[in-house]
Parts: sequence; structure tokens; C-alpha cells
Amino acid sequence: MATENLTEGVRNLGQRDKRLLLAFFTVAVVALALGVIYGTITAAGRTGIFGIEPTTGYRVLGLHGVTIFFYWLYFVQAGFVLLLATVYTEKAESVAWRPVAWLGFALMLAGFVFSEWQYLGDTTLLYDGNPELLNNDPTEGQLFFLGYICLSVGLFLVATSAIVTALRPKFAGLIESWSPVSFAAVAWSGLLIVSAIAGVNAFLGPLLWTFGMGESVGGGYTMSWHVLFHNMHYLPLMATVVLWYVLVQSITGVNSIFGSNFSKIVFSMYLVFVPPTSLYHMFLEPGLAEVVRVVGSILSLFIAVPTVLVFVVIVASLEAHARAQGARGLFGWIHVLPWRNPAMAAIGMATVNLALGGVFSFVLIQERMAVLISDTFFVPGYFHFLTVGAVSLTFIAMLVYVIPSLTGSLCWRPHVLSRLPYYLTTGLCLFGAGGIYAGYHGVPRRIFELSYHVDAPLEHIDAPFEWGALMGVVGAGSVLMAITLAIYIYGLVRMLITTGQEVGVPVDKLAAVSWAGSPVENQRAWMGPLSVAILLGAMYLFTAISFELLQTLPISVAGGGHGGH
Amino acid sequence: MKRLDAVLLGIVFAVWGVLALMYATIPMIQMPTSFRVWGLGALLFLVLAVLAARGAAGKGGGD
Repeated sequence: MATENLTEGVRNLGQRDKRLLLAFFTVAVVALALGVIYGTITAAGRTGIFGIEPTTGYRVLGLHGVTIFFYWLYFVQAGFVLLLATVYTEKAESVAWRPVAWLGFALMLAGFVFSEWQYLGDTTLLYDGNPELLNNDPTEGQLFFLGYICLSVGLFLVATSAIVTALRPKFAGLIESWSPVSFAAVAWSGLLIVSAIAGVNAFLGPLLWTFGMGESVGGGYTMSWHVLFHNMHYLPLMATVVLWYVLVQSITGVNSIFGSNFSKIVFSMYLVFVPPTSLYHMFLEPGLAEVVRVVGSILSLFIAVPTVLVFVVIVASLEAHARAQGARGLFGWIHVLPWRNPAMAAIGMATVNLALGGVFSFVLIQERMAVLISDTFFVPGYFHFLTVGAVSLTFIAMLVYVIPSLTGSLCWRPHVLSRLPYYLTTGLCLFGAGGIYAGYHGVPRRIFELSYHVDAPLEHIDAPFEWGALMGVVGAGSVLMAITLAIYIYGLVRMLITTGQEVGVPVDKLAAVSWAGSPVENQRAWMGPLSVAILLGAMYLFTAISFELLQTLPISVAGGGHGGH
Repeated sequence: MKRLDAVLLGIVFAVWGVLALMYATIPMIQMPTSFRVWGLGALLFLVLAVLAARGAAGKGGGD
């Protein structure tokens, strides 16, 4: 099967493939719902909306990270790679090695249950699973690490099924080359397999140790975790831009004006840049050589290159096609895009959030800055722009298209769904602005009780007033984000079950334009390059502001490793 | 370019392979066991490149 019409391709899948994909997407929605609940409780506890006992709060924070970062993001990606490999590979017809994919699903589901179950006990592990926290009782991490191992093996199997799906028509002599989306699905699956290997590399030692079958893993865990975590940064971002490419094609009919080969080159660049940009995760290791720090800082600048390139390809292609349709002025082409389509609105806000998160991530990964703000609220302040505002928003947009096409249901209240990205972004801006500024003022990242003690005998110090005020802004943003995501989840559940005509619209009837085949040869397309220039300027500006702000504060730094950003 | 899929996957193999060797042999980087991950990844993309090339050749592809 190879189609440029996403919904038609999904509808034409066989019932057995549809059941498999719906299994992944149903568990993904459940994981998203649980993760949002845990996140809301965490935010409420952190910001004083209600009191929460610190150890309980710490466990809920752990559940939030595990559920969202490992299970929501990876159940939904597993479904997407299978779907794209099948729908966008010419002559693929169906998911290859379907029983292997089902076995992968079963293992991932078992991993999800194990990981959640562990938190009913006394574990204090966060999502990074630092084994040093288990030194008193290693058995408190048994189900935790077993869950991660099951997830890793499951992902390996699902990604293998996706790759075989794409390879099978080639080996049958039915096709010569893959479509850009099919190639991206293979590259994405390959990186999923490598991440699964990294997961086993990181978690097998601790798992054996918790069962009394091995030595304590000690300092080697930090490095293994960083390698896995680096991949897990990259995978959702790669998935996000691939889905932008797919959705924009489906909503507007626009293909890349640079040609399909260039799209493949850009998608492959994600893989090229993964290993060399991983050094910056080691910046907090005290013994790291200065030359490695400098090289790591320089290499880290390349981390956004593939994402920026895909952004430029999509924006330039849209702008050229819109101008060919008669759009005028620097911004005129933006107005003619179908913003009443829920996926288009989501993509628009996802690019804004990605830019905001990207600017501040570059502030953080600079070697001189990382040691100052890595363990402050700056980190959750900026990365929710990426995980919620860019990645999750894009994944939800794809589900809004895919789930009704799989179930035969209607799209639930598209006029509501098309407004949610703006509310979500508003919530994120409150959360991010409050959180980043709080980070500059030293608000710690993972501590629920903000008052602290100094000297011996202990002298109690109340948190500064501005800490509470800033965290209040974070709380307001959290509430808005939680409400918006709850509406999204309700809509997705309605589409999984049934959506009646009184509240639903067929996916094919969503707002769209048809610009395929427009004469684009002589059209200008300035917005993509202009946006990149603005992004670079913003990175420079916010880095300078960050240094200025931090120089005005009385800071003393005690170095040491940590479990990741 | 009919073999572009294989060429791009081959480039990924080359980059990952070189970096895996660097991580394994340069102690200053302090990432010795990451060699296992990047090395196995390099091997995976080599296999994918070969399979993609053989698939294209089976159809009578080539430049």
C-alpha cells in the first residue's frame, strides 16, 4: 500500500492490522490519561494548590515521568511506525510478522503494568531509575527494572516488524525504493531498536542486582542511562517532524518542493547526528576533560540541525504552494492555511512550542550553564514546551486523524479540538515562564518542601517569597494544561468508542486545502529561512540574558553527577 | 537515485561505526560502555543498508 492520503490508507488496512494498531493507541491514550493525572497532582503539590506529603509527592512525580516519558510516548510511537511502514510502503498491503508485533505489544503492556505496580510499594525511584536510591533495599526496584526490560524487548520486536513490513516489497521485487515516509519509518524503527538495546544495556545490570544475581552497578549506570536518555530525547523529536510531514501532506496535498530524495537525506541526518551529540549529557561529571567539554559543547550545536531542516522544508513548501494559489505579503500565506483543522492548528502551535523549548534547551546544554541550572526548576520549565507542546501535541493531532479512520467513527467536535492547541500553548507559556524564571532564582527541581535548613543545629529557613509567587504562575499554567489535555483525552476516548453525528464530523470533511500540483517554480519562500534566523537570534539573546541574570545572583556551586535533564 | 535508501543507511553505519570505535578507545571521553550501544547500532544499519541494496538490486535497480 502506498498512498498520499493518510485516512484512505488507514481505512484500507485489514481488520487484523486495525486491531493491532488500535491496541497500541488505546493503551497509549490510557497512559496519557494516567500521566496527566499524576502530573496534575505533582504540579498541585509543587505549587501549593494542595498539600502533599513529600515522599508521596516524590512517588507521584516518579509515576508521572515513567508513565509519560516511557509508556505514552513509546506505545504511541510503536503504533505509528507500524502504521506508516504499512500505509506508506508501496505494495506492503499489511503488517509483516504480525505475531511478532503482538508479542512486542504484550511485553510492552506487561512492562507498563510492572512499572506502575512498583509504585504501590515503597520505591523512591524516579523515571531515571538511579539504583543508588535502592541501596537500603534493592528489592524495591525489581518490578521497576523488569518493566523497563519488558518495554525494551517489546519495542525491539515491534520495530523489527515495521522494518520487515517495509523491506518485504523490496525483496519481492515489487518496488525499487521507498517513499520518503517509508524511509523515515525504517530509520525511526532502526533508532527504536538501538534505543531498546540501550535500554537493556542500562537496566539489565540493575535488574539482576535487585534479584540478588549480580553486583551493584555503581557509577557505570549514569553513563548507560545518559546514552539511553539521549536516544529518548531524539526519538520523539524525529517522530514529531515525520508526522508533520505526513499530516501537512494529508491536509494540504503539498509535497516537498525540494524533492523526495532531499527529504530522505534530511530524515537520515537524524541518525547521523545522534551519537556525536551525546557528549553534553556528561557535562556534570566532575572528571570530564576540558577538551571533551569544549568539543561536546560545539557538537551539541548540531543537535537541532535535522529538526530545523525539516521545518524549513515544510514551511518553504507550504509558502511556495500558498503563493502559487495567490497568497500575498510576508505573512499572507499563513492566513490561507486551514487553521480550523484540529491537526493544522496543533502543528502550528507545536512549531511555536518547539522553538521556545529549543531556544532554552540551547541555553541549558552549554557547558558553563549546565552546572548552574540543571537541578533547578528551569529544566521542567523548558522541557514541557518540547514534551507536551511539540511532541505530545503532534502525536495527539495524528491520533485525531488516525483513530477515527481505524474505528470508522467520526472526529469528535473538530471546532473544539482546533482551539485546544492555543489554550495548551497559553498554559505552557505560564508554566514555562514561571518555571524558567524560578529556575534562575534557584527553585529546586525535585523537592516538594521548599523551605530548607542550614547549619547544625538545623535552622529552619522559609523559601523566599518570590519562589512561591513564581510557582503560583507555574500552578496556573498547570491547571490550564491539565484541563486542555483532559478535553483532548475525552475526545480521543469518544473516537475510540463511538462519536455520533450530533457531535462528530467525518475526518475527510475536516477543513483542508488541495494545493497539489500548484506551479511553484517561481514562487518566493522566505519564512522558513527567516524563522531560522530569528531562532538563532533568540538563542543568542536568551543565553546572554541567562548569564546576566545568574551573575546578579549569589550562587555557589557544588558539582556532582545527576540522573539526567 | 535508486540506491539512495541503501547509501544513506550506509552513511549512518559509517558514522556510528567510527564513533563507536572512538568511544571504545579514547578514555578521555568517559563513555566506554556506550561502545556496545553505538557499535550494535552501526551493525544494525549496516544490515539494513545491505538489505535495502539487495532489495533494489533484486528489482534490477542501480544507478
